Amino acid sequence: MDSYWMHPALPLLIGSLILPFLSQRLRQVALVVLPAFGLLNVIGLASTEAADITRHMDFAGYVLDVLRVDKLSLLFGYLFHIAALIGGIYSFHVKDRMQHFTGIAYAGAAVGAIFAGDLLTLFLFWELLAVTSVFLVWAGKGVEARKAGGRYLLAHISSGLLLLIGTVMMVSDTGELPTFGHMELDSAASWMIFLAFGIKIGFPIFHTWIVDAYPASTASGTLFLSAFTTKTAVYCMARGFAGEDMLIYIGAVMCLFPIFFAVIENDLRRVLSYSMINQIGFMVVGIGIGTTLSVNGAVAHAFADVIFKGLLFMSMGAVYLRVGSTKGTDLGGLYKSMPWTTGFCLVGAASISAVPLFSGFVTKSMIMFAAATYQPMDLTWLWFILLFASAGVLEHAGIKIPYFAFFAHDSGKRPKEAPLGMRVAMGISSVLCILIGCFPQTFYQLLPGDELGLAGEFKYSPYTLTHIVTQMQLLFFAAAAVFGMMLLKKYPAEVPSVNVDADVLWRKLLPGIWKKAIGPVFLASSAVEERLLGWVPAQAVRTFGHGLPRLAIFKEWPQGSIVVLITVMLSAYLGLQLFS
Amino acid sequence: MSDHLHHGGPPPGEAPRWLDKPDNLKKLIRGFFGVCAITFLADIAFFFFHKHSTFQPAEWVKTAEEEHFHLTGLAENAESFFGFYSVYGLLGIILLVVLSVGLRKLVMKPEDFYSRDYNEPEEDAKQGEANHG
Repeated sequence: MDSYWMHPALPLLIGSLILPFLSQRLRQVALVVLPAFGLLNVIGLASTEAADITRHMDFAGYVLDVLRVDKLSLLFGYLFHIAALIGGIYSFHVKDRMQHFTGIAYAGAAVGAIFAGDLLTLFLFWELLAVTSVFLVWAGKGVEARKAGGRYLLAHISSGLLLLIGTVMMVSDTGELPTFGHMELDSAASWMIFLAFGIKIGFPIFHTWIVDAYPASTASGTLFLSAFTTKTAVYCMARGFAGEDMLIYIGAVMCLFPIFFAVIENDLRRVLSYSMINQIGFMVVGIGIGTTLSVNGAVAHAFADVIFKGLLFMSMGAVYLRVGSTKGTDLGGLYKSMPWTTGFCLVGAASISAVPLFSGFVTKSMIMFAAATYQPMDLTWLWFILLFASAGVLEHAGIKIPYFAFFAHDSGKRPKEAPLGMRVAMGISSVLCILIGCFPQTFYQLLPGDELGLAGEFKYSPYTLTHIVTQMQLLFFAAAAVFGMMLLKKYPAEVPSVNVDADVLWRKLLPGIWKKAIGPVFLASSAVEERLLGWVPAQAVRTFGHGLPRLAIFKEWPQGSIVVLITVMLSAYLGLQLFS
Repeated sequence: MSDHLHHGGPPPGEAPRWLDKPDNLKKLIRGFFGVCAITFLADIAFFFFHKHSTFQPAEWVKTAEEEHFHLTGLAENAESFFGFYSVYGLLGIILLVVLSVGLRKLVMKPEDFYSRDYNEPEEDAKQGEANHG
């Protein structure tokens, strides 16, 4: 029976290859048909009788388990196809073939990663995720996007390298290819893999690629980026490290620090990027607690987040397309000429703020409830942090985003309403946010917690009188604090500025050390360097950045050369492993 | 910097919207704070109906483990305190904003803080345009 269905990544991956050869109109058709067909294919897989369908493939002497179907992978399978469909419709107006091609291929890579049954297959799709998505960053405007893309690639290649090393270490320990299942942090190998997931999920200090690259991309590029990479990492964390106590503390930090940066950030797409780290913090906490309820809450929240955060990114993308900026200081009063976008943005804002009847209310609360009722450890402190972070979400995503873009001080700008494709995509997302919020029990049936062998059972109903009333109290008074401070002129005004985050490490401190300490050594040995590096093909240099051939290696932070270096090391390591 | 903050205003000749009239805005603000008061007073309902505490041992916990359960007295009491969620939301946001303003002193830099490091502006700009076009 299962032979009727194909591997779920294939429709998107193969389909993406034909996209560049189609006309704009045919591309629009394909952008709907490919994800829709892929979604049907996944639904078909789910309804197939065989409980555990696996497909094997031979690769370099190992048997790869390329297809594992269970409730956890299916949930993300549905999610990623829905996200690709919405993203496809949203990018109808885009003329750049490269963005359509890489966007759909990127979605396919994400689908491949979540259906991977072993770590090597996961690694292959992990790398494909990085190399397809970086083109979406590069599609953005100007030098900022190009530089941000380079840093983005560096973060993801490093993550892939860690995953590969961890996997290879496991292979040499056991002699066989490790299946991708639950792991304990008891060996160097599992630590490597944990860190690999951690970089992609946005652990503090490693989170900077999110706030760096997302706001640099195009309107539709940001939407695609926001949907797949971090959520693939959430899936992997839930699969591999559910119940790992350390995640509780890391998640709590991720919930907290972004909300402070979000208050003072001027670029509203960057506010949303901080908001994304905060939401992933909730998921990481849920995974760390590791009960059936909390992990269900984490993956349910990931599902809801892709839709509502995507919706918010879409509304800001529409503003970016029409105004050319998403800086709070450039915007205001846009509701007058973009009423549809304003309305959709407000639905997204209500959903992320967990207003009753919207999706966040029925997903985030599971994690909070799981924290409050967790017995093996006292997590009261955590519950208070999560409640504080919930109020913070309302402040930056629920009020700041729609208020500064569409209301506030009238900028006098009267941009055209978003193109039809964008409005349809935002409409679909809005409907999904409300459907999930209004019919949680139907949605809960998709959740995989029962299959994961975790403690506790899944029994949860979000709509109790207490929950509704207390949530409304929290939200209304948090909003009252914001509006009250605005009326009293105590709320910080938007200022054209950049806020220094941990990225100062990568962008100032390390380059500084390079320039002052390491660079001079190269300068002294530049004759040797010239001979050593002269062979690097000019084409590779053009792709990965300059620095090498002009012997400017000591002049600036040579991030392009580091990517090359890592790739060379990676290949050497692989080669050694294969031939030893 | 100042023309960023003081530009704008509706184009001449455009009819003002409902929200543009100060009276309507005042009505909206009053209505909002009125609803806040109602949600605050909604806690009265819990004198008559049982307010479910979030902090209850889950049913699945075995009795042996329950003995080790650290009774989260403070949280449980705080949470069932009259108007707890309202006060927490209000004070939480005030604290958040005050701390963030402090953070701004620490981390805020001019917009070209990073970009002024790029040492080949001409070539970069050219390539950027090429990519975008």
